[in-house]
Amino acid sequence: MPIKIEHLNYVYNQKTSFATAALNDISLEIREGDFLGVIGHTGSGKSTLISHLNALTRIQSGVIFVDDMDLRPKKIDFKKLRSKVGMVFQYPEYQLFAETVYKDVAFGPENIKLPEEEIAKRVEEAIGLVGLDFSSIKDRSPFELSGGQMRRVALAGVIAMKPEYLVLDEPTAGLDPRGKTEIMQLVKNIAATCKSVIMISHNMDEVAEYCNRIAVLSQGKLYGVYEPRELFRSRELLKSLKIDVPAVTALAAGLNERGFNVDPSIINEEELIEAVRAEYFGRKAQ
Amino acid sequence: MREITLGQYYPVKSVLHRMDPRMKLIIMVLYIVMIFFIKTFIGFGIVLIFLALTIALSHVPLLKVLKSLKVIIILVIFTVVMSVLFYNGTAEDLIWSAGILKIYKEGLLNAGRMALRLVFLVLGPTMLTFTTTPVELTDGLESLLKPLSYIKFPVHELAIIMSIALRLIPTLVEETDKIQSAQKARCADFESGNIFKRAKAMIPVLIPLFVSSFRRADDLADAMDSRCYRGAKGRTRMKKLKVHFRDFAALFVMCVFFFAVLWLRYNFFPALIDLSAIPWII
Ligand SMILES: Nc1ncnc2c1ncn2[C@@H]1O[C@H](COP(=O)(O)OP(=O)(O)OP(=O)(O)O)[C@@H](O)[C@H]1O
Ligand SMILES: [Mg+2]
Repeated sequence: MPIKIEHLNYVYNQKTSFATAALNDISLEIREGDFLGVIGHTGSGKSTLISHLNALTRIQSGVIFVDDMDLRPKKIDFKKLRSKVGMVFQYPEYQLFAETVYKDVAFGPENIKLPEEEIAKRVEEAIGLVGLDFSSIKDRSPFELSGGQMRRVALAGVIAMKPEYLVLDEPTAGLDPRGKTEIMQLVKNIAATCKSVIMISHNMDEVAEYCNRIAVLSQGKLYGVYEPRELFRSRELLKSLKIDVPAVTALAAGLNERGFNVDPSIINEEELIEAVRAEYFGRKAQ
Repeated sequence: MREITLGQYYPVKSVLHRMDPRMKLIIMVLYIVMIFFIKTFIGFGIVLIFLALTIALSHVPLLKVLKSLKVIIILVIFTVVMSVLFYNGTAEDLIWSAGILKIYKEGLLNAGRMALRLVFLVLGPTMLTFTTTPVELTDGLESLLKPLSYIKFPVHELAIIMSIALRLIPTLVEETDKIQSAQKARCADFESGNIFKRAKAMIPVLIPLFVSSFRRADDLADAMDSRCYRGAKGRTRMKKLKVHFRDFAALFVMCVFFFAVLWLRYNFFPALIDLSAIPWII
Protein backbone atom coordinates (compact mmCIF):
# COMPACT_ATOMS: atom_id res chain seq x y z
CA MET A 1 0.00 0.00 0.00
CA PRO A 2 1.76 3.20 -1.13
CA ILE A 3 0.29 5.68 1.36
CA LYS A 4 -1.62 4.62 4.41
CA ILE A 5 -3.17 6.95 6.94
CA GLU A 6 -4.80 5.58 10.08
CA HIS A 7 -6.71 7.35 12.83
CA LEU A 8 -5.00 10.66 12.24
CA ASN A 9 -5.91 13.52 14.57
CA TYR A 10 -4.54 17.02 14.62
CA VAL A 11 -5.14 20.02 16.85
CA TYR A 12 -3.62 23.44 16.14
CA ASN A 13 -2.21 25.33 19.11
CA GLN A 14 -2.69 22.36 21.34
CA LYS A 15 -3.03 23.12 25.02
CA THR A 16 -3.74 26.81 24.56
CA SER A 17 -6.95 28.77 24.62
CA PHE A 18 -6.78 28.99 20.81
CA ALA A 19 -6.82 25.22 20.27
CA THR A 20 -8.64 24.27 17.05
CA ALA A 21 -9.24 20.69 16.09
CA ALA A 22 -8.36 20.41 12.41
CA LEU A 23 -8.40 16.65 11.80
CA ASN A 24 -10.51 14.06 13.51
CA ASP A 25 -9.80 10.35 13.18
CA ILE A 26 -8.90 10.23 9.50
CA SER A 27 -8.17 6.86 7.94
CA LEU A 28 -7.38 6.76 4.25
CA GLU A 29 -5.43 4.67 1.81
CA ILE A 30 -3.93 5.98 -1.38
CA ARG A 31 -3.26 3.30 -3.93
CA GLU A 32 -0.75 3.17 -6.69
CA GLY A 33 -2.17 4.80 -9.82
CA ASP A 34 -4.65 6.87 -7.86
CA PHE A 35 -5.49 10.40 -8.82
CA LEU A 36 -7.13 11.29 -5.54
CA GLY A 37 -9.20 14.42 -5.25
CA VAL A 38 -9.60 15.98 -1.81
CA ILE A 39 -12.62 18.21 -1.49
CA GLY A 40 -14.43 19.92 1.34
CA HIS A 41 -15.35 23.34 2.56
CA THR A 42 -12.92 26.04 3.59
CA GLY A 43 -11.46 25.06 6.93
CA SER A 44 -12.38 21.40 6.62
CA GLY A 45 -8.76 20.37 7.10
CA LYS A 46 -7.63 19.55 3.58
CA SER A 47 -4.37 21.46 3.73
CA THR A 48 -3.62 20.15 7.19
CA LEU A 49 -4.16 16.60 6.01
CA ILE A 50 -1.86 16.78 3.01
CA SER A 51 0.90 18.63 4.85
CA HIS A 52 1.24 15.51 6.97
CA LEU A 53 2.28 13.51 3.94
CA ASN A 54 5.75 15.05 3.70
CA ALA A 55 6.08 15.68 7.43
CA LEU A 56 5.72 19.44 7.23
CA THR A 57 3.10 18.89 9.87
CA ARG A 58 4.13 16.25 12.35
CA ILE A 59 1.77 13.56 13.54
CA GLN A 60 0.13 14.24 16.89
CA SER A 61 -1.75 10.99 17.01
CA GLY A 62 -2.32 8.31 14.44
CA VAL A 63 -0.23 6.48 11.89
CA ILE A 64 1.07 7.36 8.44
CA PHE A 65 3.14 5.15 6.19
CA VAL A 66 4.53 6.34 2.88
CA ASP A 67 5.65 3.16 1.17
CA ASP A 68 7.57 1.58 4.01
CA MET A 69 8.49 4.84 5.74
CA ASP A 70 6.91 5.32 9.12
CA LEU A 71 6.28 9.03 9.70
CA ARG A 72 5.73 8.76 13.43
CA PRO A 73 9.31 8.89 14.78
CA LYS A 74 10.63 12.35 15.61
CA LYS A 75 13.72 11.91 13.48
CA ILE A 76 13.05 10.61 10.01
CA ASP A 77 14.91 10.99 6.74
CA PHE A 78 13.24 14.24 5.69
CA LYS A 79 15.19 14.57 2.46
CA LYS A 80 14.22 11.11 1.35
CA LEU A 81 10.58 11.66 2.27
CA ARG A 82 10.33 15.08 0.69
CA SER A 83 11.91 14.02 -2.56
CA LYS A 84 9.52 11.08 -2.58
CA VAL A 85 6.46 13.20 -1.86
CA GLY A 86 6.54 16.37 -3.94
CA MET A 87 4.27 19.10 -2.68
CA VAL A 88 2.96 22.02 -4.67
CA PHE A 89 1.35 24.64 -2.46
CA GLN A 90 -1.43 27.04 -3.25
CA TYR A 91 -0.07 29.93 -5.31
CA PRO A 92 3.34 28.28 -5.65
CA GLU A 93 4.62 31.21 -7.72
CA TYR A 94 5.15 33.12 -4.46
CA GLN A 95 7.94 30.77 -3.45
CA LEU A 96 10.22 31.66 -6.39
CA PHE A 97 13.41 33.34 -5.29
CA ALA A 98 16.44 32.69 -7.53
CA GLU A 99 17.94 35.04 -10.11
CA THR A 100 17.20 32.70 -12.96
CA VAL A 101 14.55 30.15 -13.73
CA TYR A 102 17.24 27.51 -14.03
CA LYS A 103 18.60 28.14 -10.53
CA ASP A 104 15.14 28.14 -9.05
CA VAL A 105 14.16 24.83 -10.55
CA ALA A 106 17.54 23.40 -9.53
CA PHE A 107 16.99 24.36 -5.87
CA GLY A 108 15.30 21.11 -4.89
CA PRO A 109 17.67 18.75 -6.68
CA GLU A 110 20.64 20.67 -5.23
CA ASN A 111 19.25 20.26 -1.75
CA ILE A 112 19.20 16.50 -2.14
CA LYS A 113 22.81 16.70 -3.31
CA LEU A 114 22.44 15.20 -6.74
CA PRO A 115 25.45 15.29 -9.06
CA GLU A 116 25.74 18.33 -11.34
CA GLU A 117 24.94 16.51 -14.62
CA GLU A 118 21.91 14.83 -13.08
CA ILE A 119 20.62 18.21 -11.89
CA ALA A 120 21.07 19.74 -15.34
CA LYS A 121 19.24 16.84 -16.91
CA ARG A 122 16.36 16.99 -14.48
CA VAL A 123 15.95 20.75 -14.73
CA GLU A 124 15.74 20.61 -18.50
CA GLU A 125 13.30 17.74 -18.32
CA ALA A 126 11.11 19.43 -15.70
CA ILE A 127 10.95 22.71 -17.57
CA GLY A 128 9.97 20.79 -20.68
CA LEU A 129 7.30 18.87 -18.79
CA VAL A 130 5.57 22.05 -17.67
CA GLY A 131 5.35 23.23 -21.26
CA LEU A 132 8.02 25.92 -21.24
CA ASP A 133 10.82 26.34 -23.73
CA PHE A 134 14.00 25.47 -21.86
CA SER A 135 16.58 27.36 -23.90
CA SER A 136 14.69 30.63 -24.02
CA ILE A 137 13.52 30.71 -20.42
CA LYS A 138 16.33 29.20 -18.41
CA ASP A 139 18.31 32.43 -17.96
CA ARG A 140 15.40 34.76 -17.38
CA SER A 141 14.48 36.06 -13.97
CA PRO A 142 11.41 34.29 -12.61
CA PHE A 143 10.07 37.66 -11.47
CA GLU A 144 9.69 39.01 -14.98
CA LEU A 145 7.46 36.15 -16.13
CA SER A 146 3.70 36.18 -16.37
CA GLY A 147 1.67 34.70 -13.52
CA GLY A 148 0.92 31.53 -15.45
CA GLN A 149 4.55 31.06 -16.43
CA MET A 150 5.65 31.61 -12.85
CA ARG A 151 3.29 28.93 -11.68
CA ARG A 152 4.73 26.54 -14.24
CA VAL A 153 8.26 27.28 -13.11
CA ALA A 154 7.23 26.62 -9.51
CA LEU A 155 5.64 23.36 -10.58
CA ALA A 156 8.85 22.45 -12.42
CA GLY A 157 10.77 23.16 -9.22
CA VAL A 158 8.85 20.37 -7.52
CA ILE A 159 8.83 17.81 -10.29
CA ALA A 160 12.57 18.27 -10.85
CA MET A 161 12.94 16.19 -7.69
CA LYS A 162 11.17 13.34 -9.49
CA PRO A 163 8.64 12.73 -6.73
CA GLU A 164 6.89 9.40 -6.69
CA TYR A 165 3.85 11.04 -5.17
CA LEU A 166 2.69 14.45 -6.25
CA VAL A 167 0.56 16.46 -3.86
CA LEU A 168 -1.14 19.60 -5.14
CA ASP A 169 -3.03 22.21 -3.14
CA GLU A 170 -5.46 23.90 -5.51
CA PRO A 171 -3.11 24.03 -8.48
CA THR A 172 -5.50 26.11 -10.57
CA ALA A 173 -6.54 28.71 -7.99
CA GLY A 174 -6.70 32.20 -9.43
CA LEU A 175 -6.21 31.25 -13.08
CA ASP A 176 -8.53 32.02 -15.96
CA PRO A 177 -10.50 29.10 -17.46
CA ARG A 178 -7.95 28.57 -20.19
CA GLY A 179 -5.05 28.69 -17.75
CA LYS A 180 -6.90 26.17 -15.60
CA THR A 181 -7.25 23.65 -18.41
CA GLU A 182 -3.64 24.12 -19.43
CA ILE A 183 -2.33 23.52 -15.93
CA MET A 184 -4.60 20.53 -15.45
CA GLN A 185 -3.40 19.08 -18.72
CA LEU A 186 0.19 19.44 -17.49
CA VAL A 187 -0.71 17.84 -14.18
CA LYS A 188 -2.23 14.96 -16.06
CA ASN A 189 0.96 14.50 -18.06
CA ILE A 190 3.08 14.69 -14.95
CA ALA A 191 0.76 12.24 -13.20
CA ALA A 192 1.80 9.63 -15.73
CA THR A 193 5.36 9.84 -14.35
CA CYS A 194 4.29 9.44 -10.70
CA LYS A 195 2.89 6.58 -8.65
CA SER A 196 -0.08 8.63 -7.51
CA VAL A 197 -1.35 12.18 -7.36
CA ILE A 198 -3.29 13.85 -4.60
CA MET A 199 -5.04 17.08 -5.44
CA ILE A 200 -7.04 19.49 -3.32
CA SER A 201 -9.58 21.35 -5.37
CA HIS A 202 -12.63 23.52 -5.02
CA ASN A 203 -13.45 23.09 -8.67
CA MET A 204 -15.79 20.13 -9.14
CA ASP A 205 -15.35 20.18 -12.91
CA GLU A 206 -11.67 19.40 -12.48
CA VAL A 207 -12.24 16.83 -9.79
CA ALA A 208 -14.84 15.03 -11.90
CA GLU A 209 -12.69 15.08 -14.98
CA TYR A 210 -9.29 14.07 -13.63
CA CYS A 211 -9.73 12.14 -10.39
CA ASN A 212 -10.50 8.47 -10.08
CA ARG A 213 -11.29 8.73 -6.38
CA ILE A 214 -12.54 11.59 -4.29
CA ALA A 215 -12.08 12.02 -0.56
CA VAL A 216 -14.68 14.28 1.01
CA LEU A 217 -13.69 16.10 4.17
CA SER A 218 -16.13 17.87 6.39
CA GLN A 219 -15.17 19.68 9.58
CA GLY A 220 -12.02 17.68 10.04
CA LYS A 221 -13.66 14.31 9.47
CA LEU A 222 -13.33 12.11 6.43
CA TYR A 223 -16.88 11.87 5.20
CA GLY A 224 -16.07 9.17 2.71
CA VAL A 225 -14.08 8.23 -0.39
CA TYR A 226 -16.08 7.95 -3.58
CA GLU A 227 -15.72 7.32 -7.25
CA PRO A 228 -16.60 10.54 -9.10
CA ARG A 229 -19.67 9.06 -10.74
CA GLU A 230 -20.93 7.64 -7.50
CA LEU A 231 -20.40 10.94 -5.66
CA PHE A 232 -21.98 13.23 -8.19
CA ARG A 233 -24.92 10.91 -8.68
CA SER A 234 -26.00 11.09 -5.03
CA ARG A 235 -27.71 14.45 -4.96
CA GLU A 236 -28.84 14.10 -1.36
CA LEU A 237 -25.30 13.63 -0.18
CA LEU A 238 -24.03 16.57 -2.22
CA LYS A 239 -26.77 18.76 -0.90
CA SER A 240 -26.11 17.84 2.72
CA LEU A 241 -22.40 18.56 2.21
CA LYS A 242 -23.16 21.72 0.23
CA ILE A 243 -20.98 20.56 -2.64
CA ASP A 244 -21.72 21.75 -6.16
CA VAL A 245 -22.05 19.36 -9.03
CA PRO A 246 -19.79 19.72 -12.09
CA ALA A 247 -21.22 21.96 -14.80
CA VAL A 248 -21.65 19.04 -17.23
CA THR A 249 -23.50 17.01 -14.63
CA ALA A 250 -25.77 19.94 -13.86
CA LEU A 251 -26.51 20.33 -17.56
CA ALA A 252 -27.15 16.60 -18.03
CA ALA A 253 -29.44 16.54 -15.00
CA GLY A 254 -31.33 19.58 -16.30
CA LEU A 255 -31.86 17.91 -19.67
CA ASN A 256 -32.95 14.72 -17.97
CA GLU A 257 -35.47 16.60 -15.84
CA ARG A 258 -36.98 18.19 -18.93
CA GLY A 259 -37.68 14.80 -20.44
CA PHE A 260 -34.61 14.16 -22.56
CA ASN A 261 -33.09 10.76 -22.42
CA VAL A 262 -29.73 11.87 -20.97
CA ASP A 263 -28.08 10.09 -18.06
CA PRO A 264 -27.97 12.59 -15.13
CA SER A 265 -24.78 11.10 -13.71
CA ILE A 266 -22.63 12.05 -16.67
CA ILE A 267 -19.42 13.64 -15.49
CA ASN A 268 -17.48 14.59 -18.56
CA GLU A 269 -17.94 16.58 -21.72
CA GLU A 270 -17.46 13.81 -24.25
CA GLU A 271 -20.08 11.62 -22.65
CA LEU A 272 -22.54 14.49 -22.54
CA ILE A 273 -21.96 15.36 -26.19
CA GLU A 274 -22.35 11.72 -27.11
CA ALA A 275 -25.58 11.38 -25.13
CA VAL A 276 -27.06 14.58 -26.56
CA ARG A 277 -26.16 13.54 -30.08
CA ALA A 278 -27.69 10.09 -29.60
CA GLU A 279 -30.84 11.68 -28.20
CA TYR A 280 -31.02 14.21 -31.03
CA PHE A 281 -30.67 11.62 -33.77
CA GLY A 282 -32.96 9.26 -31.89
CA ARG A 283 -35.72 11.88 -31.82
CA LYS A 284 -35.10 12.90 -35.40
CA ALA A 285 -35.46 9.32 -36.56
CA GLN A 286 -38.88 8.99 -34.93
CA MET B 1 0.57 31.47 14.16
CA ARG B 2 -2.74 32.60 12.79
CA GLU B 3 -3.98 34.01 16.08
CA ILE B 4 -0.99 36.23 16.68
CA THR B 5 -1.75 39.82 17.38
CA LEU B 6 1.04 42.12 18.21
CA GLY B 7 1.46 42.64 21.88
CA GLN B 8 -0.89 40.48 23.78
CA TYR B 9 -4.39 41.83 23.65
CA TYR B 10 -6.59 39.63 25.79
CA PRO B 11 -10.05 39.63 24.27
CA VAL B 12 -12.58 39.74 27.08
CA LYS B 13 -15.15 42.30 28.07
CA SER B 14 -14.37 44.56 30.96
CA VAL B 15 -14.63 48.16 31.98
CA LEU B 16 -10.91 48.56 31.32
CA HIS B 17 -11.31 47.23 27.79
CA ARG B 18 -14.04 49.79 27.18
CA MET B 19 -12.06 52.73 28.49
CA ASP B 20 -10.86 55.46 26.17
CA PRO B 21 -7.35 54.55 24.99
CA ARG B 22 -6.22 58.16 25.42
CA MET B 23 -7.13 58.13 29.05
CA LYS B 24 -5.42 54.78 29.47
CA LEU B 25 -2.28 56.20 27.89
CA ILE B 26 -2.35 59.25 30.16
CA ILE B 27 -2.89 57.05 33.18
CA MET B 28 -0.03 54.85 32.14
CA VAL B 29 2.32 57.81 31.82
CA LEU B 30 1.26 59.00 35.29
CA TYR B 31 1.77 55.47 36.60
CA ILE B 32 5.30 55.27 35.27
CA VAL B 33 6.19 58.67 36.66
CA MET B 34 4.68 57.60 39.96
CA ILE B 35 6.90 54.54 40.15
CA PHE B 36 9.96 56.76 40.01
CA PHE B 37 8.81 58.74 43.01
CA ILE B 38 8.67 55.67 45.19
CA LYS B 39 11.42 55.18 47.72
CA THR B 40 9.77 52.93 50.31
CA PHE B 41 8.18 49.51 50.51
CA ILE B 42 4.96 51.09 51.72
CA GLY B 43 4.98 53.07 48.48
CA PHE B 44 5.26 49.86 46.48
CA GLY B 45 2.43 48.53 48.59
CA ILE B 46 0.28 51.41 47.36
CA VAL B 47 1.14 50.61 43.75
CA LEU B 48 0.38 46.98 44.41
CA ILE B 49 -3.13 47.94 45.52
CA PHE B 50 -3.55 49.97 42.35
CA LEU B 51 -2.34 47.08 40.20
CA ALA B 52 -4.51 44.55 42.00
CA LEU B 53 -7.49 46.80 41.37
CA THR B 54 -6.58 47.09 37.69
CA ILE B 55 -6.10 43.35 37.24
CA ALA B 56 -9.34 42.55 39.02
CA LEU B 57 -11.25 45.01 36.87
CA SER B 58 -9.65 43.81 33.63
CA HIS B 59 -10.87 40.18 33.85
CA VAL B 60 -7.45 39.04 32.61
CA PRO B 61 -6.37 35.93 34.54
CA LEU B 62 -3.70 36.69 37.11
CA LEU B 63 -1.48 33.91 35.79
CA LYS B 64 -1.51 35.44 32.34
CA VAL B 65 -0.41 38.78 33.78
CA LEU B 66 2.37 37.21 35.82
CA LYS B 67 3.60 35.32 32.77
CA SER B 68 4.51 38.62 31.17
CA LEU B 69 7.23 38.91 33.79
CA LYS B 70 9.03 35.95 32.26
CA VAL B 71 10.93 38.20 29.87
CA ILE B 72 12.48 40.33 32.63
CA ILE B 73 13.19 37.64 35.17
CA ILE B 74 16.86 37.39 34.16
CA LEU B 75 17.22 41.15 34.29
CA VAL B 76 15.68 41.29 37.75
CA ILE B 77 17.90 38.55 39.12
CA PHE B 78 20.98 40.16 37.62
CA THR B 79 20.08 43.55 39.07
CA VAL B 80 19.42 42.12 42.52
CA VAL B 81 22.64 40.12 42.65
CA MET B 82 24.74 42.99 41.40
CA SER B 83 23.29 45.59 43.70
CA VAL B 84 23.55 43.32 46.72
CA LEU B 85 27.18 42.47 46.03
CA PHE B 86 28.38 45.94 45.18
CA TYR B 87 26.57 47.88 47.85
CA ASN B 88 28.89 49.83 50.10
CA GLY B 89 27.33 50.28 53.48
CA THR B 90 28.44 51.15 56.96
CA ALA B 91 30.02 48.68 59.36
CA GLU B 92 27.05 48.38 61.72
CA ASP B 93 24.85 47.52 58.73
CA LEU B 94 26.96 44.51 57.77
CA ILE B 95 25.09 41.24 58.16
CA TRP B 96 27.31 38.74 56.37
CA SER B 97 30.77 38.73 54.89
CA ALA B 98 33.22 36.29 53.35
CA GLY B 99 36.49 37.66 52.01
CA ILE B 100 35.72 40.56 49.74
CA LEU B 101 32.04 39.67 49.62
CA LYS B 102 30.07 41.85 52.00
CA ILE B 103 26.33 41.93 52.32
CA TYR B 104 24.66 44.86 54.02
CA LYS B 105 21.11 45.14 55.26
CA GLU B 106 20.58 48.37 53.37
CA GLY B 107 21.99 46.67 50.27
CA LEU B 108 19.35 43.96 50.47
CA LEU B 109 16.56 46.48 50.96
CA ASN B 110 17.87 48.53 48.10
CA ALA B 111 17.95 45.51 45.79
CA GLY B 112 14.43 44.64 46.84
CA ARG B 113 13.21 48.11 45.89
CA MET B 114 14.96 47.96 42.55
CA ALA B 115 13.46 44.59 41.74
CA LEU B 116 9.98 45.81 42.68
CA ARG B 117 10.45 48.92 40.56
CA LEU B 118 11.34 46.81 37.51
CA VAL B 119 8.43 44.46 38.06
CA PHE B 120 5.92 47.26 38.46
CA LEU B 121 7.35 49.10 35.48
CA VAL B 122 6.61 46.06 33.32
CA LEU B 123 3.23 45.23 34.78
CA GLY B 124 1.67 48.63 34.12
CA PRO B 125 2.19 48.78 30.36
CA THR B 126 1.37 45.07 30.23
CA MET B 127 -2.07 45.80 31.59
CA LEU B 128 -2.45 48.50 28.96
CA THR B 129 -1.63 46.10 26.11
CA PHE B 130 -3.81 43.37 27.59
CA THR B 131 -6.84 45.61 27.53
CA THR B 132 -6.21 47.77 24.46
CA THR B 133 -5.90 46.64 20.85
CA PRO B 134 -2.94 47.99 18.87
CA VAL B 135 -5.37 49.88 16.66
CA GLU B 136 -6.95 51.62 19.65
CA LEU B 137 -3.50 52.45 20.90
CA THR B 138 -2.43 54.12 17.68
CA ASP B 139 -5.73 55.98 17.50
CA GLY B 140 -5.26 57.17 21.04
CA LEU B 141 -1.69 58.17 20.40
CA GLU B 142 -2.64 60.07 17.30
CA SER B 143 -5.32 61.95 19.12
CA LEU B 144 -3.03 62.79 22.04
CA LEU B 145 -0.24 63.97 19.77
CA LYS B 146 -2.55 66.06 17.63
CA PRO B 147 -1.32 69.39 19.08
CA LEU B 148 2.10 68.59 17.58
CA SER B 149 0.65 68.84 14.11
CA TYR B 150 0.50 72.61 14.56
CA ILE B 151 4.26 72.66 14.47
CA LYS B 152 4.13 70.62 11.25
CA PHE B 153 4.89 67.32 12.94
CA PRO B 154 3.33 64.56 10.76
CA VAL B 155 1.22 63.00 13.48
CA HIS B 156 -1.40 61.45 11.24
CA GLU B 157 1.18 60.01 8.87
CA LEU B 158 3.08 58.43 11.73
CA ALA B 159 -0.11 56.97 13.12
CA ILE B 160 -1.13 55.48 9.80
CA ILE B 161 2.33 54.02 9.28
CA MET B 162 2.14 52.48 12.71
CA SER B 163 -1.29 51.00 12.23
CA ILE B 164 -0.40 49.57 8.82
CA ALA B 165 2.74 48.04 10.26
CA LEU B 166 0.81 46.56 13.16
CA ARG B 167 -1.82 45.22 10.83
CA LEU B 168 0.75 43.59 8.55
CA ILE B 169 2.91 41.90 11.13
CA PRO B 170 0.65 38.87 11.62
CA THR B 171 0.21 38.64 7.86
CA LEU B 172 3.95 38.63 7.36
CA VAL B 173 4.42 35.98 10.02
CA GLU B 174 1.87 33.81 8.27
CA GLU B 175 3.48 34.45 4.91
CA THR B 176 6.93 33.57 6.25
CA ASP B 177 5.47 30.34 7.56
CA LYS B 178 3.99 29.48 4.20
CA ILE B 179 7.12 30.24 2.18
CA GLN B 180 9.25 28.36 4.62
CA SER B 181 7.00 25.33 4.29
CA ALA B 182 7.19 25.56 0.53
CA GLN B 183 10.98 25.63 0.58
CA LYS B 184 11.10 22.83 3.12
CA ALA B 185 9.00 20.79 0.75
CA ARG B 186 11.87 21.25 -1.70
CA CYS B 187 14.22 19.83 0.92
CA ALA B 188 15.56 23.18 2.11
CA ASP B 189 17.27 22.73 5.46
CA PHE B 190 16.86 25.50 8.03
CA GLU B 191 17.84 23.59 11.10
CA SER B 192 21.35 22.30 10.68
CA GLY B 193 24.74 23.87 10.09
CA ASN B 194 26.50 26.82 11.67
CA ILE B 195 25.10 30.31 11.90
CA PHE B 196 26.35 31.39 8.46
CA LYS B 197 24.86 28.34 6.82
CA ARG B 198 21.55 29.01 8.51
CA ALA B 199 21.57 32.66 7.55
CA LYS B 200 22.25 31.65 3.98
CA ALA B 201 19.45 29.11 4.13
CA MET B 202 17.04 31.95 4.88
CA ILE B 203 17.66 33.64 1.52
CA PRO B 204 15.05 31.52 -0.31
CA VAL B 205 12.55 32.66 2.31
CA LEU B 206 13.51 36.31 2.58
CA ILE B 207 13.50 37.09 -1.13
CA PRO B 208 9.93 35.91 -1.76
CA LEU B 209 8.93 37.65 1.44
CA PHE B 210 10.38 40.98 0.27
CA VAL B 211 8.86 40.58 -3.15
CA SER B 212 5.44 39.93 -1.73
CA SER B 213 5.78 42.75 0.80
CA PHE B 214 6.49 45.22 -1.98
CA ARG B 215 3.61 43.85 -3.98
CA ARG B 216 1.37 44.14 -0.98
CA ALA B 217 2.51 47.70 -0.28
CA ASP B 218 1.81 48.60 -3.89
CA ASP B 219 -1.64 47.06 -3.74
CA LEU B 220 -2.40 48.80 -0.50
CA ALA B 221 -1.30 52.14 -1.90
CA ASP B 222 -3.53 51.60 -4.93
CA ALA B 223 -6.45 50.61 -2.74
CA MET B 224 -6.00 53.70 -0.58
CA ASP B 225 -5.62 55.93 -3.61
CA SER B 226 -8.71 54.56 -5.25
CA ARG B 227 -10.67 55.33 -2.11
CA CYS B 228 -9.44 58.91 -2.24
CA TYR B 229 -7.10 58.75 0.71
CA ARG B 230 -5.11 61.94 0.89
CA GLY B 231 -3.74 62.13 4.38
CA ALA B 232 -5.10 63.82 7.44
CA LYS B 233 -6.68 66.79 5.72
CA GLY B 234 -10.45 66.80 6.08
CA ARG B 235 -10.48 63.23 7.29
CA THR B 236 -13.16 62.20 9.76
CA ARG B 237 -13.36 59.02 11.77
CA MET B 238 -15.85 56.22 11.88
CA LYS B 239 -15.14 55.35 15.47
CA LYS B 240 -14.85 58.63 17.30
CA LEU B 241 -13.02 58.38 20.57
CA LYS B 242 -15.21 59.57 23.38
CA VAL B 243 -14.38 60.23 26.98
CA HIS B 244 -16.94 58.89 29.42
CA PHE B 245 -17.55 59.28 33.10
CA ARG B 246 -15.63 56.06 33.77
CA ASP B 247 -12.53 57.56 32.19
CA PHE B 248 -12.57 60.52 34.50
CA ALA B 249 -13.26 58.25 37.44
CA ALA B 250 -10.20 56.20 36.52
CA LEU B 251 -8.10 59.34 36.17
CA PHE B 252 -9.32 60.49 39.55
CA VAL B 253 -8.37 57.18 41.16
CA MET B 254 -4.96 57.41 39.53
CA CYS B 255 -4.49 60.91 40.91
CA VAL B 256 -5.41 59.78 44.39
CA PHE B 257 -2.78 57.05 44.26
CA PHE B 258 -0.25 59.47 42.81
CA PHE B 259 -0.96 61.88 45.61
CA ALA B 260 -0.55 59.14 48.20
CA VAL B 261 2.83 58.25 46.77
CA LEU B 262 3.95 61.87 46.70
CA TRP B 263 2.78 62.40 50.24
CA LEU B 264 4.73 59.36 51.36
CA ARG B 265 7.83 60.72 49.70
CA TYR B 266 7.65 64.39 50.66
CA ASN B 267 5.81 64.26 53.96
CA PHE B 268 3.49 67.17 53.06
CA PHE B 269 1.78 67.60 56.41
CA PRO B 270 4.40 67.15 59.14
CA ALA B 271 2.22 69.07 61.52
CA LEU B 272 -0.71 66.74 61.01
CA ILE B 273 0.99 63.36 60.64
CA ASP B 274 4.74 63.23 60.63
CA LEU B 275 5.52 60.33 58.33
CA SER B 276 9.26 60.60 58.90
CA ALA B 277 8.69 59.75 62.54
CA ILE B 278 7.09 56.41 61.74
CA PRO B 279 9.87 53.80 62.03
CA TRP B 280 8.43 51.08 59.79
CA ILE B 281 8.36 53.24 56.70
CA ILE B 282 11.55 52.13 54.99
N1 LIG C 1 -1.57 27.66 11.30
C1 LIG C 1 -2.76 27.49 11.87
N2 LIG C 1 -2.98 27.85 13.15
C2 LIG C 1 -4.18 27.67 13.73
N3 LIG C 1 -5.22 27.11 13.14
C3 LIG C 1 -5.09 26.74 11.87
C4 LIG C 1 -3.85 26.89 11.16
N4 LIG C 1 -4.00 26.41 9.91
C5 LIG C 1 -5.27 25.99 9.84
N5 LIG C 1 -5.92 26.17 11.00
C6 LIG C 1 -7.32 25.80 11.30
O1 LIG C 1 -7.46 24.42 11.05
C7 LIG C 1 -8.66 24.15 10.33
C8 LIG C 1 -8.35 23.45 9.02
O2 LIG C 1 -7.59 24.30 8.21
P1 LIG C 1 -7.06 23.90 6.77
O3 LIG C 1 -6.15 25.00 6.32
O4 LIG C 1 -6.50 22.54 6.81
O5 LIG C 1 -8.40 23.93 5.91
P2 LIG C 1 -8.59 23.75 4.34
O6 LIG C 1 -9.57 22.66 4.17
O7 LIG C 1 -7.28 23.60 3.68
O8 LIG C 1 -9.26 25.13 3.93
P3 LIG C 1 -9.12 25.95 2.54
O9 LIG C 1 -10.05 25.32 1.57
O10 LIG C 1 -9.59 27.32 2.92
O11 LIG C 1 -7.70 25.91 2.12
C9 LIG C 1 -9.34 25.48 10.17
O12 LIG C 1 -10.32 25.59 11.18
C10 LIG C 1 -8.27 26.49 10.37
O13 LIG C 1 -8.79 27.66 10.96
MG1 LIG D 1 -6.17 24.89 2.32
